[in-house]
Amino acid sequence: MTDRTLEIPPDELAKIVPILDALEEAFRPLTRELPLAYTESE
Amino acid sequence: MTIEQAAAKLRRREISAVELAQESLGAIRKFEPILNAFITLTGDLALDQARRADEELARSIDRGPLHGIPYALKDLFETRGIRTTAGSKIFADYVPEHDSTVYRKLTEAGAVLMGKTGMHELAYGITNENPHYGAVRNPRDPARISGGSSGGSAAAVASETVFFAMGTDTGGSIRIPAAFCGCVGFKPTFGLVNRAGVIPLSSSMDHVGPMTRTIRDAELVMQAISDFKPAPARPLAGCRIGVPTNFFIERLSPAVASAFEDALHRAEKLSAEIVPITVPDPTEINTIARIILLSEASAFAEPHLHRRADFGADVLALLDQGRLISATDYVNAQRLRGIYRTQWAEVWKNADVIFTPTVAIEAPLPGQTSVDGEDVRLASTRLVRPFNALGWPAVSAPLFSSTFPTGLQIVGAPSADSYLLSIVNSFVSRI
Repeated sequence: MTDRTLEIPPDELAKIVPILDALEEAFRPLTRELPLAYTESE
Repeated sequence: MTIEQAAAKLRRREISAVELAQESLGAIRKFEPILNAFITLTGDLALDQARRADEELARSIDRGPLHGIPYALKDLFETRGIRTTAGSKIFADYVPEHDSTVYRKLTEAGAVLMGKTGMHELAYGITNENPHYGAVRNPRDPARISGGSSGGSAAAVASETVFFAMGTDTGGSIRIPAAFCGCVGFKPTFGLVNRAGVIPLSSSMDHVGPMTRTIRDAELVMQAISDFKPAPARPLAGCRIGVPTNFFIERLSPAVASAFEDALHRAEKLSAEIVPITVPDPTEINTIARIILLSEASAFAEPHLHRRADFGADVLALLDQGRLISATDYVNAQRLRGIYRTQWAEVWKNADVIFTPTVAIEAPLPGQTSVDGEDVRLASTRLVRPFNALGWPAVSAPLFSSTFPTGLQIVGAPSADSYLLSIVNSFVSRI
């Protein structure tokens, strides 16, 4: 399986990792709101 | 001059379509060294289309209000035999074999294509500082950026070199440059305008819409390219204008805040009912929208990503980010989006339309990366992006009450496009 981080030059990867970390930090708590079953909107 | 006024002159034979096209070409050539609004000019085609429009009118063949009217297409609408770059080096030599549906409908309506406009590379950004085709400058002040990604279309309309231009809006790309340049930019309900033949950015959030000098002109263009049916202008009296008390009025530049307050006062004087509303936290739906945008944009660009040197640095960084988001996060973002859409829809119990500023800041300078410590991209997109995730119609109407134009964003309920524009039509004519 391809590790896509290896396809990005290390210096460029180093710049985007903090951005993705911040995005994940904001996103992860939202996924805890996902209901167990389908909702009306689905 | 508006589309309706030009159309009336054409029918009274006070001007010909060829003369309109020649005037447009002359103005474009005059302003191009300053604005760089176009990637490709289609002067010969325009004169051919204009001659045909004149011949048809002489034979009483009338294709409607856009017959003989000069316009421009953002350079991601496919045009058969005319290169379509999407503002990218990757597609620098791409010449489509088919027309986009929008271009076909505009041609059938008799409109005259003057050229393909400059844009942020792949529509993936809001500055329009394009490393391959140059930056588009703001016609109100060429020292400033036009905004993007439909910046060339906004600059062409605001400089009045064309009567209207088509744009796309994935995270504000019609409304942001419309606000920065001082023209109307309309993002219709998701799916109302056919996207066939439009090079994608984010398949579940890309919207196609017009940029115009007036709201009425936007209605005329929408009528030609979709099933949109304009409604008569409605008075604001009694209209419930929802004004969010959270998020949308935070961290505004003084000029934007002042222009927005002024617009609310004017609406009140016209007997509109200003209703304070609280919307679900927009930072959350913006986070969800970013996950979706990053994933979908990288999925589209994946076959070309081995050509790393052919992408601008800002766009490549975003495409790399998208490749590292997991499929499970993308799926969960789409599930959350549906749930948030239901939560947000509660606002329509208390409001008929929503007023917000379009952008929190005025048009920045080239190369400017932050405003008062906030990233320029986030400051430009945070008030508009929620409505891409929601798919609701939203229009930016120009406000000139500050030192530099800014935008009033008016948002409608899903599929209430005609109602939205009819309300705005009666209001902005008084601004």
